[in-house]
Amino acid sequence: MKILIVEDNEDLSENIRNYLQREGIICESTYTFFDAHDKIVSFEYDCIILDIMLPDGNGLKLLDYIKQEKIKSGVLVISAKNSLDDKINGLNLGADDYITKPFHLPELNARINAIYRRKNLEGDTIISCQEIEVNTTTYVATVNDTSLDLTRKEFDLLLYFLTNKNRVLTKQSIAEHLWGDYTDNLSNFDFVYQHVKNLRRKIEQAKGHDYIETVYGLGYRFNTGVK
Amino acid sequence: MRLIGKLTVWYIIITAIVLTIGGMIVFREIMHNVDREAYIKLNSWVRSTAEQLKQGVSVEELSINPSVTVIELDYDEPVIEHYQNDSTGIFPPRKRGDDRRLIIGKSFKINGNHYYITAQNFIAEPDEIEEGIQSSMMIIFIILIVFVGIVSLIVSRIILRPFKNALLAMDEFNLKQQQPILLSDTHTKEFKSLNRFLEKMTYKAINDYKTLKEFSENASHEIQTPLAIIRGKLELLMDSQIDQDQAESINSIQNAVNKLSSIHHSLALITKLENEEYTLETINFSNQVKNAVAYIKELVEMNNIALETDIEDQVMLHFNSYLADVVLNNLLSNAVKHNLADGYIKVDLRNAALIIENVGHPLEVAPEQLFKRFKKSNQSGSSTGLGLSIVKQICDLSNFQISYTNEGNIHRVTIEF
Repeated sequence: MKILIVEDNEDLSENIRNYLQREGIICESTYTFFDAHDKIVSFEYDCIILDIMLPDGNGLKLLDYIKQEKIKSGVLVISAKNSLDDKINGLNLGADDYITKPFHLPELNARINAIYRRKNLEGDTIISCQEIEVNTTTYVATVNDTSLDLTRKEFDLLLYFLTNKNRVLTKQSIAEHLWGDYTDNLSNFDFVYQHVKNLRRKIEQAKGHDYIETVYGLGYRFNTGVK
Repeated sequence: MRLIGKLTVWYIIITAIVLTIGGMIVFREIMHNVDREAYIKLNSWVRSTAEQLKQGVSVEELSINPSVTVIELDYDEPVIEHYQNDSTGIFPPRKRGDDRRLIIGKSFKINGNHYYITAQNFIAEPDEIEEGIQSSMMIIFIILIVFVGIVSLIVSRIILRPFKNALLAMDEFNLKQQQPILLSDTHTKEFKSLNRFLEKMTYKAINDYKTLKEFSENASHEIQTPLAIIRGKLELLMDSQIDQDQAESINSIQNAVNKLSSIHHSLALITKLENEEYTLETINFSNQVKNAVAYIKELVEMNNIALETDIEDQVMLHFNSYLADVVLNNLLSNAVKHNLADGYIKVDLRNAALIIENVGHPLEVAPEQLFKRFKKSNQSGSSTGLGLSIVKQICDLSNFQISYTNEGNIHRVTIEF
């Protein structure tokens, strides 16, 4: 997958690049509206990460251009404003998804992957990791061809782990991924522990490996190196 | 009271005073003239009678006014220079309705005879004049009131029109629309400067508002970006080789970043609510409550909390769907967060009210305190303390009544529509 990061803040851009490159995604960064426009015209990207506020222009205009020229790249809009207007504007203008700062990098990665799956792979999309297979179209997860009886949230959690393999996922980031705005007011994320516990149990019941490990007080990691 | 009403009242009060004083002056003048005329007349009668006598006309043959009497006095008696009797005098006491009679007498020594000539006449009485003046002043006063009333109504419409227009324009003025008010031209100097002032002021208010809004939006952008960087760096750091102490530090920093970010989101929402940036429309609240309940179902079950719902269909509210979500999100997540082991949540939606009941530890502060910003039942808790104050503000904006009651372990939030 090849993506373009349009973000004026170099540190943030580097964070994103750093995280995604380890996932095997080819990243290019631009910091201005002008450069971004140039790159979009010249090259093809699977996905564009677009910050709305750029020093020399509004990212939404770029989005407008992408849609006008029927450029096939998926667009993930980043905004500092958690405002409904921007969200609606962004999605109306044809953005594929919207994420507000400050976001979690695993979340960003999950969203990009979701956009990529929707855009590029037609039919059933199957993500697999060792004996675990997840079908993102039918919402069926299997271990060694035994299907798992997962709730929607557990399925989302498994998918989140699989798109962020060998990464530490904080409880906070898992909670936000699963429950969105509802976690804003939740002071403890014990329910994340419950979710993870249930998921582990179900995978183990299906004779799968327990790849999910607890990382100190931080969160969890789907460790493919476990044997 | 309207301005023109106030002016009219003052005008009427002043007119009443002036008319009273004027009435007194008129009365005095009339009395004075009436008296003078009467004296002159009576004196002339007396004099003409004396003239006739001087010309040798005998008393019996005098052609005189019947109200003139001539009496012959002893020649040696002293001449009466002037006699005057006014029946309005204090003595004899007069009764109301008595006629006023004025008598003038004078004696003359003519051709060796001494005549005493008196003339009398009935003249207008002071109380009659007073009554006349009073009633005519009354009539004048009434006419004046009627005219002033009518004229002030008409004139106020015409003269005060620019003022009214300005008031109307001010009332309709809305900062959010970013439209400075434009007032119609007027020839009145005061209104001209008023209009100029208003136009200038709204223009300035709009500019200030815009600057402030831009500032807070930019500030928001500027704060969220560093937060995103911190969060990202921490997440990258977590994936490197770290020991437990470092992990704990990272965890604390993460929590602080989360809190900062969530406070910021809440404050941004509050600012928007204060600016009344949300428009109210008719929404199907039943559906939203159902969705919200369905959304938390798994969360609730996982925490071993029983969820009872009784949601009436088709509860339509004059509300905003985004704000409705914010309210439900806040209240329901509070109900989950503060619940006890094996507790319950009851969601009850009727046409008149939404009631959310849950069990939890008794409050340490008065329930209404929780609607204040940054007020929490447990000050050391990690929540922002903004949730309920946002809910309250949304309810105020939508004209809903919200109340919080706590009896023992039972907490109940009621929103009446």
